[in-house]
Amino acid sequence: MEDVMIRFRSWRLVGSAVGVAALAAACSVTGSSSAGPTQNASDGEFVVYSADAPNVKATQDMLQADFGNPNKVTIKMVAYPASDFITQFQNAVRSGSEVDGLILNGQHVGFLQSKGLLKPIDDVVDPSTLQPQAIDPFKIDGKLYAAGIGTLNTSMVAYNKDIMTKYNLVVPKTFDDIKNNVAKLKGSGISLFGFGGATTFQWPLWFMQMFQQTSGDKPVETTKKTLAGQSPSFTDAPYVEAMRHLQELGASGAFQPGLMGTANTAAQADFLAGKSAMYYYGSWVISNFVSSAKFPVDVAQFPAFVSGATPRPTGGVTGATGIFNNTPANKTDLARKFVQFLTSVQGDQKVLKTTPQGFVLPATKGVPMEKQTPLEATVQTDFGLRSFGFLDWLWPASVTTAFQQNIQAVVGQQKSPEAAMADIDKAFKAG
Amino acid sequence: VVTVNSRTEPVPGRVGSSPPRRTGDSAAAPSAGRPRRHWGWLLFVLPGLTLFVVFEVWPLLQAMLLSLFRWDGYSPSTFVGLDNYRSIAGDALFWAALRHAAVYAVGTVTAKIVLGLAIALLLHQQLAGRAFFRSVAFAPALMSFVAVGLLWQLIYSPQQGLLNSALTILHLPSDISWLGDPNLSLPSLMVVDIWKYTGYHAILFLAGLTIVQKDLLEAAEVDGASSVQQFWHVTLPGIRAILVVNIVIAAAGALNTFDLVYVMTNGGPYRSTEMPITYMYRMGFANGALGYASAVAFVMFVIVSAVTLAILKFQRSDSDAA
Repeated sequence: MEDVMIRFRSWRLVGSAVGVAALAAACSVTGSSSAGPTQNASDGEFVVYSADAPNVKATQDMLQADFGNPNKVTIKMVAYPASDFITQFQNAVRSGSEVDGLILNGQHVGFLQSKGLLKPIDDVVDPSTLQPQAIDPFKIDGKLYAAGIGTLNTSMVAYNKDIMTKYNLVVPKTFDDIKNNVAKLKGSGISLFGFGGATTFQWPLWFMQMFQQTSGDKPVETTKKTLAGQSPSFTDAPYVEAMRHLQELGASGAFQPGLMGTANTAAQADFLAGKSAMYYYGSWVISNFVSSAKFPVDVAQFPAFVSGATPRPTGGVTGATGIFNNTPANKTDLARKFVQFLTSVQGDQKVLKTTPQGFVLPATKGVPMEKQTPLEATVQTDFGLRSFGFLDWLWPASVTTAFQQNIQAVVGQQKSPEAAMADIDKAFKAG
Repeated sequence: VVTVNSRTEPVPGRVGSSPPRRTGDSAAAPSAGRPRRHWGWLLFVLPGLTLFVVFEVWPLLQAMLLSLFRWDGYSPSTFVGLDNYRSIAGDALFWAALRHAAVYAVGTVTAKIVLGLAIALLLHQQLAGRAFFRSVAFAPALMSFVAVGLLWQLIYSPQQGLLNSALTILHLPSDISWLGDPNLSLPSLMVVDIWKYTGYHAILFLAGLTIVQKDLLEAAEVDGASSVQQFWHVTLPGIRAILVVNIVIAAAGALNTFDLVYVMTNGGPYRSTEMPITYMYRMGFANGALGYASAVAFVMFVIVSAVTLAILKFQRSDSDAA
């Protein structure tokens, strides 16, 4: 009997311990459910969270010299790679860490705004001093939540001029041109387009180009309507047609064999090795081709797949800055000055010098250029300033994931455009 | 007989094999009244126990509780009861991922155990350079999965990969997209896992082979047992415990596979290599559904625990039968 009692007491002890632990865990879960007031760093410190980890030292030195010293604060940088930034920033917010300044990747702005973590900055920045591509993507419900810094990014088709000449290819302006080029390259061991199909996050760029054409050159406006629950929905014609063009492109033989098993780095290496004639992607990659290829490289607009359409590139900015909603009150003024510094002519000039860029296409108007190549000048006017905003900056995260996987399936002839868009619509409605 | 209130001393003639204590043994205590309790052991257990509670039990409780909430990491969380688990029950993507994990586990565990044991038997022989070959066999296990993934991406590359180049030299079909074909991508990943961990399991088996009593093998040989019979009736029963440990380690690792998939295919193409843990990661950190991801984690905890217990139970019942 005593043994039974001892066992009972032991179990009661264990039960109590588990109960206390569960209660504490419950408190911990609910307690971390929203962003509370942040912990104060010392008054002399200004904590900058940055999504530009590779350049953190150079950026810190620049900010210290040009912003910290004049304002008598020490810049403390907390930097993470852009791909990891949201997760790490989430941890910082949950733990109440102090955040005074922000250097974001443009794609983070919509997400952070939707979580109520950014303050409007309409009274901080004069939008007319920046290129529209550095402002428009960050206007949400009529308010400005961030401003672009650094350089404009855009998209384009790069091509190997030697291969074009050797095989008598034309710079494709239509889908028919693409098909004719594919026929001319047959048996040469060279593919028309090289692309890293295994790297799924790259696929949405192709969709955006198609959707710009199927939406009547209103990709951003149409997307905003869809996300607001208005017509068209994701299963309607402009979306399905864009997917259908991707399906046709995939079936045309324009891509290299083994497309879906090729990572982006391998595909880029193939282009530089002369195994593909063309490469469609962002200016941050194409600029490397121009500088490092052993053959002449030129650039062109994305071809028209819709009759009569005038294709435009998609793009954004390398970085963005804004004001965190829970910055301590005694540092709010400094946070405003920080945004104003980074978006000023002097600030953007410093950012451009600090951060290695692809093509230099300043986000702030009037930045004096020490050196800009003729190609850069062309890219700025014909591509950068004509770009519409990246649509995946607008899509919710689950929709972006669904787009990445479904575009891959459609191009790979594994799924119909209708089924793919139905899947994306389902992801959108699931929230 | 060792009682609760006696100090445990080695029983003469049974060194290292103290009989198991049973609670009921306390009834056999020679002294009357309450058995004396010794709490000194707690001091020795406490550091490890504290770490276990803080880093294992506590996160487990956290994950279990979080799985009852809808939470994106920023906004206020909402208690949803068992909704996340109901959603998992109807989530075709999760079940597909679980199916992939089951195929992956059966394939890799079988191959790693069979090949590992074969390599261990080979390296157990008195061969010249045995130490060198043991090191070589173990080397892949020391490499990070990220490095291994990138290395094998190059080997599998459809355009310039070593594998397709070798097939070309052999005049075999070489236009194969190992990671891009949904029918080949999962087996291709399994090959990498097998390559990386077979040596590790071989080393564990080698440790087991050293405890197989030589006199039993010699007796079997004298009795006319063939090599196969010696292996089957003497060696294999002798390393049964190591075999089970190997299977448990391999199975748990396979069901929790993440890094290799994340680096090499990220679940693609067309979700053909999606695993429960990559799915959990995607839901939690890409889609911001931390409650749902926690529910997936907890379901996987239950599944992996059940598989492990089943293997141990099978081993015990097998031992009892023997």
